[in-house]
Amino acid sequence: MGRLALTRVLLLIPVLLGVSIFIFLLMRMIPGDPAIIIAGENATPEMLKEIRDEFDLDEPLIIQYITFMRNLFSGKVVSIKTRRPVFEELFPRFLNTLQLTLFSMAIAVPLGMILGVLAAAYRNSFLDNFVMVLSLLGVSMPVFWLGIILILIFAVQLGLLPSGGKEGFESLVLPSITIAFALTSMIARMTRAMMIETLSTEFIRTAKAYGLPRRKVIYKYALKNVMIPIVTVIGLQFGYLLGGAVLTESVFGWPGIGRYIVDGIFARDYSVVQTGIMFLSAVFVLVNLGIDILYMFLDPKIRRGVGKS
Amino acid sequence: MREKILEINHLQIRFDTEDGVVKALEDVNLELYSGEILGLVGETGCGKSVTSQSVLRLLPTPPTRITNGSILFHGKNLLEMPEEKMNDIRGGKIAMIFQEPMTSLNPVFTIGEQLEDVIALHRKVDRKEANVIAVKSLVDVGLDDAEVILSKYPHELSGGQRQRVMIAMALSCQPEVLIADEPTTALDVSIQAQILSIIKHLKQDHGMAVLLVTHNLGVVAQVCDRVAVMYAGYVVEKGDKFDVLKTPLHPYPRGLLESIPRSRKVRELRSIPGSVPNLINPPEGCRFHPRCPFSTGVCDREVPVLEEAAPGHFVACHHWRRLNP
Amino acid sequence: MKSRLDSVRKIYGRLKKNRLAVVGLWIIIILVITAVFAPLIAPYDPNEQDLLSSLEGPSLAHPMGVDFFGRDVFSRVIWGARVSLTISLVAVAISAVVGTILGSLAGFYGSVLDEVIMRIMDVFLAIPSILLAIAIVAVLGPRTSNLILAVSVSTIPEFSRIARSAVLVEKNKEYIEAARAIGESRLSILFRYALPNSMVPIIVQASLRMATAILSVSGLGFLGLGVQPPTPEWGTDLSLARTYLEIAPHAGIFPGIAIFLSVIGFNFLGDGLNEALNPKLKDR
Repeated sequence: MGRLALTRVLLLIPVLLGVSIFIFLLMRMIPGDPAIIIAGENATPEMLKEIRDEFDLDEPLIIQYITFMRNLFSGKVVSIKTRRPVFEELFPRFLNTLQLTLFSMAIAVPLGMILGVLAAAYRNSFLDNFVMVLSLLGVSMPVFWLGIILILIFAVQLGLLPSGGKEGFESLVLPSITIAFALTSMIARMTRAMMIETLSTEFIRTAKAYGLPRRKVIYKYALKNVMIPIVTVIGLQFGYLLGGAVLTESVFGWPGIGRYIVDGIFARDYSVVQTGIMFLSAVFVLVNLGIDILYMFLDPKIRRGVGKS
Repeated sequence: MREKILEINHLQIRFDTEDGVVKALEDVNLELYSGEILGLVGETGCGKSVTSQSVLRLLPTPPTRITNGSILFHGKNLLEMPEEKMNDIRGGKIAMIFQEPMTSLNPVFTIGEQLEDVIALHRKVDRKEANVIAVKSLVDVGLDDAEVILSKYPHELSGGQRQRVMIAMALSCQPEVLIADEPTTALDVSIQAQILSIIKHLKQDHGMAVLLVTHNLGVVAQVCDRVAVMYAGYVVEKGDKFDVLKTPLHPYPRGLLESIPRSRKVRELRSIPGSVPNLINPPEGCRFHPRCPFSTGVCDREVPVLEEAAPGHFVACHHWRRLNP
Repeated sequence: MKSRLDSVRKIYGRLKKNRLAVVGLWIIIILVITAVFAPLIAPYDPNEQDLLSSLEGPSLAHPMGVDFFGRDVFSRVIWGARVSLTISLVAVAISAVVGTILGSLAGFYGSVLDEVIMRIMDVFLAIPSILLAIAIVAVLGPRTSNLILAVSVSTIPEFSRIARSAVLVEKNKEYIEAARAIGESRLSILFRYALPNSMVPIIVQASLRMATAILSVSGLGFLGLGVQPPTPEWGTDLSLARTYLEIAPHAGIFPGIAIFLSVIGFNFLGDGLNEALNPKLKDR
């Protein structure tokens, strides 16, 4: 198992290297002279030269890339606009996104699993149909629109909650619900499908053939089997949300990392964009790694090795 | 005298599928006496597994519909029993083992957890006592390192060990009837013999009645007392093992036995010309008539009834007298 | 050939029985009709400004009200269908074709090619897809062609994974061996046998991806990176309406409903197709 985990870690390196190269090249594709973009239209020739030296812009691409990577690892990447180290700006933003994500998951994970299990247990009942339709609506709802509707109702009409910003617990509620809606739907659908599949397996037939009560068959024997893949799905969603909450952050003016990067894109601040996307990709693959390891731990087939056959 | 423990009368089962209604069982009549092993044989798709699973009502409804018949256990109809009472029967009075020991055990619980759950439920004991019983049951089926086995997950055991665990689970609740659905089909030949001898001992030492479903006539010859032959949803012949195997009356088992090379030990039922009929549109009359060398006009019109040809020896064929002068 | 026709008929039969799928199909049909006949259906020119009636609520003359620039929201929603559908359809088609080809090649040839292709896919999967789309559009400029590129790039890995695993399953089947034995070239085997049989999951995925693509296009529009004004596009219009939400919610609500409904249509259909093609999922 230890070796398996190590292999996974080593596999991350080429992926992250690939991400860095891709993002680096993408940013070089911005039309126009990068020095002018950095310094602005009114820059003097001296300023341009200074910038060219600082960013090695006259050197071949490969040197520029190495400089970028060196700066990245030493934490020396500086925002082109604010001239402050990117990490210093980025990290608090990331924590904000993390807070939002965790809070949404705290709503969506238990709710989604309960709905999914109940829908599978009472298959083709009214409850099942209700959960299925609701969850299909949930995954179809554009988050930015849902956010706007929630603001209209709870902030504008009822005045119960703030419409945006980040001030205290209240400001967390609406964006969390917005994210949790789709997330709950997804988890409920996934749980239901896996639960139904598990309930038709032969070992569940065995449990039934030995008179174990339906409750125990569903909530113990079937559920534990479903938990393992569900954990994976939830973990993946967690990874996606950390980078994908841009739209929600934008609707609610939540100072998260997604918005930070988007602002960087608009400002043509490529230090911010490169570092931000690298950072999120690294977080994403690390989260996935964590899930893989958790999965190995949960699944007795991997944890306890393959037995004599 | 021998007591009739389990009695299946006129059992008729339908499956609703997209392609039409599958007439899986038409008229199945079987009885299981205390202390005997009854072999239920037939080709794949003849309805023998369906019959065995219907006893504990394990077939999912829908798509399954039981359209006629009764299954009496000590005279009480299992098909009309409320679900909670049925759960006392399942495992407690009638236990079942399945063909695939690999997939019949839950992969994410240890053997101990699964065995003890069942024992605690039916023997009404606490966890500790359940553990003692589990150990004893495993030793009974020849798994001497019982404590180790209990701490293992199914994937850590061999196929033979898993099937023994399944038998131990069945045994642990001291049921009156064991239904074994092709218990050796998925196992190596050498292990098959061991499992069969354990089942034989269950009968002898614990007085269990066994319904053994198999497609292998060799298995029947080895362990059964009586045998019932199924074809396309009907029991076509049943009786004492020696009667049926030595002097089969129905053309179907006759064909099967003739087609077996005498020298081969493992006897498969595959060599009669023609194939098992499609049960969505089964043949009219006797369902075997399209493959039967002796069929006449009556065979494709009328369904033959199961009649007692000799004491305890039943056959369902219009021409059994003509064929067995 | 007959058996394939039969199975198509069977799948259609199952699809018809799935109420949600039928609803989805109807939504899509209406959507397509709206997009094709937008000039005939829309009561006004979507860009015609009547500043005097700016932000007026729904009325008989303007069933969905008027936006800030005095444009008829109903007409813009109808024309928006054309823009959203076209961009999403082209993007999904491109990523389905590219992804399927890459995935099939990886699955069929295996070894080094497989490693290289799938590692590259991993790279794209590691970048949050919405940020990837945003970055591409931001760098290359918000032209329609770049939008299509941005939306399709993040969908390619999904298709290639599906095609790869489907081809891997088919690859070891007997008929492939038989085809090879009679001397067909490997590539022709791939395209004649293995690929058609992996179409099923790819079609399901394409329908579900249409839903995601519509969301991405409108999401980019909402961030100001999508289709540029004054072209009518739901996300872009919604973003504009946001500023005046408190006084004129209709200008935002209706484009949102349009996005929501179209996404529902494709999700319902994709889901229904999935069940119809994999009857195991729903054998009742």
